[in-house]
Amino acid sequence: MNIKRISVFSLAVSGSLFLASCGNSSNTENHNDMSHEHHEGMEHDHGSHQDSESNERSVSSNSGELKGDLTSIMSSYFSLNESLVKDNASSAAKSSENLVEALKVFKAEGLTEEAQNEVSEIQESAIENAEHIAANSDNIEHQREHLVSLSIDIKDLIAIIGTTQKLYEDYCPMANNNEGAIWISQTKEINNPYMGSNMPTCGKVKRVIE
Amino acid sequence: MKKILKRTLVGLLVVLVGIQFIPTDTNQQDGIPETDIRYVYGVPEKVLKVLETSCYDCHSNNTNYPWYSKVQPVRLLMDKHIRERKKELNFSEFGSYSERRKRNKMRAITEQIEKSKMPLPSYLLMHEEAKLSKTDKEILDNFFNDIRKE
Ligand code: HEC
Repeated sequence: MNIKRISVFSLAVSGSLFLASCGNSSNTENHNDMSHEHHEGMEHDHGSHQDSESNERSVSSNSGELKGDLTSIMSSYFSLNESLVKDNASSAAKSSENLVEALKVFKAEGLTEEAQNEVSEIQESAIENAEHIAANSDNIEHQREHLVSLSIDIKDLIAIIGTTQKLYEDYCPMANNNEGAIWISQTKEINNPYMGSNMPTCGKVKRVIE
Repeated sequence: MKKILKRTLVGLLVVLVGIQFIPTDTNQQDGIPETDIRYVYGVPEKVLKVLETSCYDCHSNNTNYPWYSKVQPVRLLMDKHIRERKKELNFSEFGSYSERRKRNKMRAITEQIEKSKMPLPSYLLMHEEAKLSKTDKEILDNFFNDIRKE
């Protein structure tokens, strides 16, 4: 009797598992043919709207005084980028877990209500992006997609909170499906987290943040 | 031997009937909420049509349940998946997102479309009509790129 019961249950369970597996199978497909698809499929006017996106928001600029301590956020963000430069998705995921923690505990001080709201929105957005990167240790392409938004969050956060460290806003026009994307770096030389070992030096310093 | 087979089948039937009584969520809402993306932007009819046909089953508060979804354990799995998808992106609640989150999502949408990752291939097996044609992709892509750059 017992054996039969077990076999019945395992049948039901394996049936369910089979059905469950159908949902999430698509993540790693299409890796190799995406560049072709892009060229053949869509015609964009890349020239005119390159990075209007990252500039469109007028973030209240920091007025010299530090509004909080971004040290642990920045160090996780930098190690995330270093991992992506080396095409190492699993260590990128680990750094991103640390980044999620750092973002969750961050508190800004002495801000106007408006700026505080903005910071909360940035934190919420950055946490969501960092969680995606942490959850996709097997899909570097998807990690890099979320790095595009995450880097804008980090840039805007620095603009409000301020930094004592000299930082660089870098820009690569080929990243993000040739739409262009920015990232923040500690060093003057270019180490591109979007292109990885394919094109580690693609990009230029767009702005120095002091 | 025959007896064993019979008992197994009866047992299976009991389990299958039993799980039909598990309570389910119904992802359906009367009317269209104010926060639906169509009220946030002037979404042209043709864009809306593509979104409703290809995306709303998973990314809105209104799922069109197919007949087989009435059957467990299909429904249980669907409920779980719908919760996850709506957390990622919910067109019915787009208006409640912060500007920053809206822009993130629009960026993600054009990415997913350009790379042909959405709708999920497993869904297209049962929903031929949801497959995006080249024109559908261009319609969505142009629309989301345009409002994103405004
Ligand atoms: C069968 C259900 C299903 C359909 C239909 C579907 N999606 Fe999704 N979508 C998912 C699931 C599941 C996820 C989350 C898991 C993943 O990323 O694979 C998701 C995630 C997403 C994301 C978030 C990706 C990210 O990384 O932030 C976007 C954007 C998206 N879908 C857009 C669309 C669009 C646009 C359509 C219609 C053209 C669509 N989806 C149709 C199931 C679906």
